[in-house]
Amino acid sequence: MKANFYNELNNLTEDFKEVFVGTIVNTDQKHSELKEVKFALTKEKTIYSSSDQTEKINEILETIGKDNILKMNNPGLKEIELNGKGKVELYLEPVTDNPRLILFGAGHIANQVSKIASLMDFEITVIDDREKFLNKERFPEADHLIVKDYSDYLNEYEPEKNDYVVIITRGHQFDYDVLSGVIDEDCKYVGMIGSSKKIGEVFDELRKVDNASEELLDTVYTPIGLDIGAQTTAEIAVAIMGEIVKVRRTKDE
Amino acid sequence: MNKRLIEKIVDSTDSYDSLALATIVDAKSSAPRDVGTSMIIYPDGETHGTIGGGNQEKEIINKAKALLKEGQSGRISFSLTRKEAAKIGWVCGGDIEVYIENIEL
Repeated sequence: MKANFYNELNNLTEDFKEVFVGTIVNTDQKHSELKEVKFALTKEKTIYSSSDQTEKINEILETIGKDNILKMNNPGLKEIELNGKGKVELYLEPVTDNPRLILFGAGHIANQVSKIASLMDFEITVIDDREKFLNKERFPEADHLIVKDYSDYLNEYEPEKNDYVVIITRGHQFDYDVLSGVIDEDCKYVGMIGSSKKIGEVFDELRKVDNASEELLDTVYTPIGLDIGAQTTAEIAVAIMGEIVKVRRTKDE
Repeated sequence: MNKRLIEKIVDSTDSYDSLALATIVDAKSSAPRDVGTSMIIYPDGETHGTIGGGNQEKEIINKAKALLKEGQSGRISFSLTRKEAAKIGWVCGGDIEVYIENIEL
């Protein structure tokens, strides 16, 4: 395999969100020229590791159905019959990105959540307007520390469907601002910390000011975290990350 | 395959002439969570990522180094009991297939 294919693949993942890679890992004698050939596919575009084999690869793509590939969630091996003229074994996989964990608020709980999340493959972003809370000493493991007003950050934030948003700011008004900014986005998880009284107040404001439906409010994970009787900040962080793992591993796409 | 792994392959051109990409392509059991796990092996034995560690990973690394010398891609398979698999962090036992791709940088 030439590195050039990976250069092209790298560019493809920059330009397109959903990219799938296929590798012919085995063939019968008749199709040995297809061995090790790779392709990558998006809805709009296909690239090939070998320009000599584009026709054959397209034939294989037609056999599987391009739409079936674009729908797949998990990598796997497929045996493909080529019009009764032999067989190839194809390994198909989606290109994945690390899920993003976005922590609004850099207080004590955020600090512990960030630590635990760093043991998993999350890309961690923490946002707070207070530099004395949000710094490398307190969050050495986080990938992005953003010292900014929440509302300024929300203006530039581009949600992705692999985003996990945790709202743990220092005040009810900030919680409202952030939740109002993310609640109708297509994130995988939005959780907000707080007593039932505080959550009730934030939800009331969302109903009044944003016309939020009950259905929409129901999508917010609150009270945040799995019910494990957590008491200390570290335990609460475990409960939050436990819930996030549960959503990540069991909630359908 | 993870986006960051693709970036790593592309970035490796500065330091190496070739590398091997080992990927679990098949795991015959009920929970194929391991399928898609991959790691990079360089000709000098340096690695990036892990597919579980243990003796199996050592075997994969040795096979990859041998393949890199020959400029070939190849396959290696393991038969693991559930217990053996759990030991190295794989979810499932059974037959596990690893495809090792030789990439010229």
